[in-house]
Amino acid sequence: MRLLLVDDDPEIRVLARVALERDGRHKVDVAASADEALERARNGLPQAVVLDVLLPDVEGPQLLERIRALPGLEDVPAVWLTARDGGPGPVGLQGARGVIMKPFDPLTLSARVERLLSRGTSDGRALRDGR
Amino acid sequence: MEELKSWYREQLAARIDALEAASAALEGEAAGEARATVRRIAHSLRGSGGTYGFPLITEHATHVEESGDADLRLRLERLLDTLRETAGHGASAPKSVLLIDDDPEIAEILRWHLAQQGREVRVAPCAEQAEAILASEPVSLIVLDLVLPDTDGRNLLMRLRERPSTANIPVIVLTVRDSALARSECFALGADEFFEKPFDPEAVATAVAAKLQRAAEMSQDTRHDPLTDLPNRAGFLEAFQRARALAARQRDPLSIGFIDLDHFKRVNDAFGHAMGDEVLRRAADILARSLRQSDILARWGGEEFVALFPSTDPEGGVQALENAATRFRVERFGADEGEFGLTFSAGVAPVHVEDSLDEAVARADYYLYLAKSTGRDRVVSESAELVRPRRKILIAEDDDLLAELVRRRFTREGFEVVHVVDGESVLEAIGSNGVDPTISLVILDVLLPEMDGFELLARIRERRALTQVPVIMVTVMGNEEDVVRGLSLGADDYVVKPFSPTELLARVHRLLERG
Repeated sequence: MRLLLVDDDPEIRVLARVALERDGRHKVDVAASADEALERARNGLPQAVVLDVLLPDVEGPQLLERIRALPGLEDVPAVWLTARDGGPGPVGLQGARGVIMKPFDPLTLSARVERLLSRGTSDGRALRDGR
Repeated sequence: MEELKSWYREQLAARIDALEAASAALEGEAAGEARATVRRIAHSLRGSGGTYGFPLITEHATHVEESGDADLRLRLERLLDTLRETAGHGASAPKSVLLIDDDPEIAEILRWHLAQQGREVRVAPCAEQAEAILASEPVSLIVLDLVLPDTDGRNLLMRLRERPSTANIPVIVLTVRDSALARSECFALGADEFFEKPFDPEAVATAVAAKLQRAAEMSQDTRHDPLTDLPNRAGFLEAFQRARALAARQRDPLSIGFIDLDHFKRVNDAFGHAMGDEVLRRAADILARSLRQSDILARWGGEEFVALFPSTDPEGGVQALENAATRFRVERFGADEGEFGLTFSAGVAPVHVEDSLDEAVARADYYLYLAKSTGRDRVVSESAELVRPRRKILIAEDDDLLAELVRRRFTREGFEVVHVVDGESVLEAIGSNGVDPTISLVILDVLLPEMDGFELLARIRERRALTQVPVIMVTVMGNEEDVVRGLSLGADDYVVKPFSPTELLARVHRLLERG
């Protein structure tokens, strides 16, 4: 799967990318900022996005909205990465399929992302889309 | 995973620096900003620490991020302790305190008090055993009883002071002798502190802590180059940071000059190292006298010097160094062994607010390279640079087809692509005696015939003018050790085969725009 990983922390980008690519099933592109993420998304057309909730220049949910406004990415599934307790806030998953808390276990990251991506969104939209 | 962990440990140094700087600013005018910086870094460490297998970092970072302003400093100190410990100097064993006393009760009570400070204590009941411990273990401080079964403690103290390996270890002397003579004699022999029995063990423990603190501070006074009497690289770094901050605040220009004596090796070869040292001292002296009081001159290493010109643009820096060059041209070195003249080449560049010292030096070093390659004995700055070379990319890849694909794609984008197939050719391409400063990025396959990519990477990073050149590694799927090894050796990014030239292009653009 082509994944786009967005996180402003370089150490997390390195480890998450290694962790997601290690079994050879995924190809990961990384971005450190909103602008970079939009550019990489536009050019790379990722099949799923893994985003940090808290980026320096933009809120994660807002960025996800902008990514989904790009042609061909309207329904791109997403997973949040966050170091905050309680996920991305009161709105819940905000259109993503799951949350992975930092710190995470790099050895199981790939499996967890896959598992989250394979299920529907909280509002069931992905389930409907799947049928 | 172990390699990733040690890579992460290395990355911590920068976080520690940033947190220490912010910690210092917590008391100042920009305290609000400093608190925000601390919390931002803590937030990031909270996420990454545990991920890399350091749960304590996550725990302390969480405390910092969630603390109120009042507790922030205290919690930050704890986080910093954890970070320093993790980043630690790895294998260096903690040095112990050596207690030389034949009275087991005194030994026990002192050991207990020192253990309260978290110190490791070794006990030797006689001089012979003390010597054995000193010969085999690192010792940070000695507590010495003057009355020992096998020798007079003063003899041992004298021996310790004569031997270079123990000459600087602080010694605290204990004695029952109630004589002024023994006391002054011990200080004369090099004791650092003196306690008479019966003593207050807590006072001794406090003295131990104070001496060790002082010893630690002394060992950090390594900012000075004894040969030339100039600041060394560490000393210059401090001056650089101050000057950069000042320049930023006052919106003043700041320039840096990088100076290399011409053909210095010939001096060493022809007249020996003693003359080489003498020439370095004289050269430092002439340079120092030619520059203004406010300029900062330091020895960078070998025959290289670096100068900082506060409130001065590069043209002013060039002017100052031209003056020095004029003086050099009339000086004579060598005297009895045969007279000779000496010149230097230098590059001058502006320092920007966001520059690290390495970045600033690398820029000046580029102009130094131009000065050297256009005939030496000259000072070069940006204004002398007339043509801007095309962006050149070096790709070291033994798969010709892949390299050709990359070359075509990149040439279309206006890059000049140099393709080589093995390590030797890379070293040739980046210049065997100098470096080719026109190379703006290197793409390196980690699996090359003869010399592997890692060795090459290490060699590239050794060349100062190339330390800032981005390097992208090419590796194969599933080799995370490659990635980590490459990153610790200074690679900036990696791509995994098979990759598309477009993907590579995106990474190249990102790295080049970053610079």
